Amino acid sequence: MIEHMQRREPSFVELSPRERLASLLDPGFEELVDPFCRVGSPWLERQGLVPQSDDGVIVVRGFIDGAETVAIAIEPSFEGGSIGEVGGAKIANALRLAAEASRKGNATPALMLLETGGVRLGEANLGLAAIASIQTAIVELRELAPVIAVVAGPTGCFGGMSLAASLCTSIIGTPHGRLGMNGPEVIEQEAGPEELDATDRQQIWRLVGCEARLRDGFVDAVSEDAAASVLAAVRHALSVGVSPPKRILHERERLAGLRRRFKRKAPIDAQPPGRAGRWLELLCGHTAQIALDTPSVLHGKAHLNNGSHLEAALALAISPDAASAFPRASHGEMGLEQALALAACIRTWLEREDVKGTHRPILALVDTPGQAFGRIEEELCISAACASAVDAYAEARRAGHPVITLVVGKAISGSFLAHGLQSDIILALDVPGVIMHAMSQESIARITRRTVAEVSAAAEAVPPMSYSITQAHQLGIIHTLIPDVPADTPNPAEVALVQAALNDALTQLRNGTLVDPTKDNPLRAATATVEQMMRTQWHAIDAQRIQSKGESLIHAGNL
Amino acid sequence: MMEYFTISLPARDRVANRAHIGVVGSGDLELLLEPNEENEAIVAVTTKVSGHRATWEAVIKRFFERHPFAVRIEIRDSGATPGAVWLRLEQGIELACKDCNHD
Repeated sequence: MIEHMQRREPSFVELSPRERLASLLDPGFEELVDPFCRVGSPWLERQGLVPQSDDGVIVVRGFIDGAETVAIAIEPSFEGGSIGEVGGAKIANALRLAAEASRKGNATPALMLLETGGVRLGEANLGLAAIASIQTAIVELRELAPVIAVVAGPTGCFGGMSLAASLCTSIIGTPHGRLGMNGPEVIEQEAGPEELDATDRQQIWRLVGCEARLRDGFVDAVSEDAAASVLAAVRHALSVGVSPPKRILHERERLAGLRRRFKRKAPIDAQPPGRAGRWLELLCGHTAQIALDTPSVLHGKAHLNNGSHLEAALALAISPDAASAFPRASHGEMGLEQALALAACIRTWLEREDVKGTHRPILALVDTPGQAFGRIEEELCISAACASAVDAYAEARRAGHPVITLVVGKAISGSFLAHGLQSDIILALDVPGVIMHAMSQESIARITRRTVAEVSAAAEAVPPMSYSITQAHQLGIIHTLIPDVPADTPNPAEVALVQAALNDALTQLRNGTLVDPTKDNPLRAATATVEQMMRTQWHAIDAQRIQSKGESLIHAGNL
Repeated sequence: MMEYFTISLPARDRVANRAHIGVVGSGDLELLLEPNEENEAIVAVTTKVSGHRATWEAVIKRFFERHPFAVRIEIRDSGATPGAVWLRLEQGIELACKDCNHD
């Protein structure tokens, strides 16, 4: 009996992130921007939180069975494995450098051990921006080399990072892992305990556990909780090579499936548009219409002047739909229907004869109060639906269609990731009521075990915690603020001001004069430090390898 | 409220390596350790829990009286108990002494 227990393989989940990496990689990997580089979060101390010297994210360059791999692991015990400015920049830069190496002929797949609650609420807007750049980087690398996500432990993979996981070539889980957009506590806080009881563990794992996800095709493999078993699954995923993740394609079919199962409360009818919808009508006139029988997704043709001529842009907006079959997504939220219809609408447009081969722009009009918090949404994996929207925007950008975002109201959390943050330039009206954030203050208070008053005080004192669009602009997340235009009832002159700002944005994109607002921005010094350090260390490893290769050749010659 | 302080003690034994151990997680701490050229152990503490400086000083003093290694240590603490602090210090020294011939 004791002998049997001794011979049993140790749990993978109980290993620390560095031990997990060591159990999967060949010996002799090297860590990039390690703890001794001391790049911790610059935002936590002023909230009375102690930063960690690696910000909870470990990036290594190494080999699996002799083949180059960049591997990333998240420490779930530090701030819930959340993604802040520094950790997010570490992941995004590692993926970008892997893509660069792959393009130069050294195919470098990525392995991501994800144990994360998503955006770090203490760095809210910078966490969101970081996750948006991780998503861009995943899609970029995925075309060149496989990107594999492992969701092993009970922390699971939630929030914006569940969208990131869904964008990967493959997802490997264990029976302990779980994958979902909104954590159970957040759903209970936002929608009430009658929607979901956050203490009912069995129900939660039935809903978002990796085995349930495997059954529904949102996860590709579930391995045992042992390093050898996880490694076998990783090897298999690597052997499959570059292939598009099926879980986020075929949006039309998935939308049709939803329609068969859930019936609307009233026939499809034009609904009074929300604020983003009204701006779409103002900018697109009679071309505004609903997309794919989804009254909450509007599209139209906006004309933007690039400085020399007019270009016809695809304008998109999410709008309320009181008769939606999904009550949690009827007030303008990003739900299953909205995300899938948005993705399908973009992909259909990309395939159109008059669009193919052109670089016509896309205009995302944003006023979304958040993603839909609901049991049914989690069961049907809203993460994958939102990832579809992210993927469609990313595909459009890769094909050379610039994306311009205009925030006219709320730009919140996962809904902003799915609609607005995959863009080349973000503009916002600078008036009260136009806000950006990762979560409501009530939910942040509950998740981070602080009072609403404390959260509110932090939002005043810590720029990335702020709900103010001005602060988001200073942080370099929003490129341009448009002053003096009321969001709800603009007069024609005020609409013309917005049109002029959009024209200017397109002009900057077309003539390459757009300035990166995070560059030389003192509030983003940590982002710049991570980028520079990781690049230098990455190339130092390359140089070292060339040198030792040369030396071994000389030795061989001497012999 | 957070608290920061540094404690210095005489020390002479050498370590070979630097070491990183622990997590800034509930009841734990992160410890960075590097060899110090001077005959001194310097411990810089950042802690989430203020008001326990005397306890920290007692634990660290006792530790380096017993293990007088010349090191620079940074501790980032999230409410570790004195016992946990001692354990992390021992682990740090053990890692730093790996491959070096101390008796």
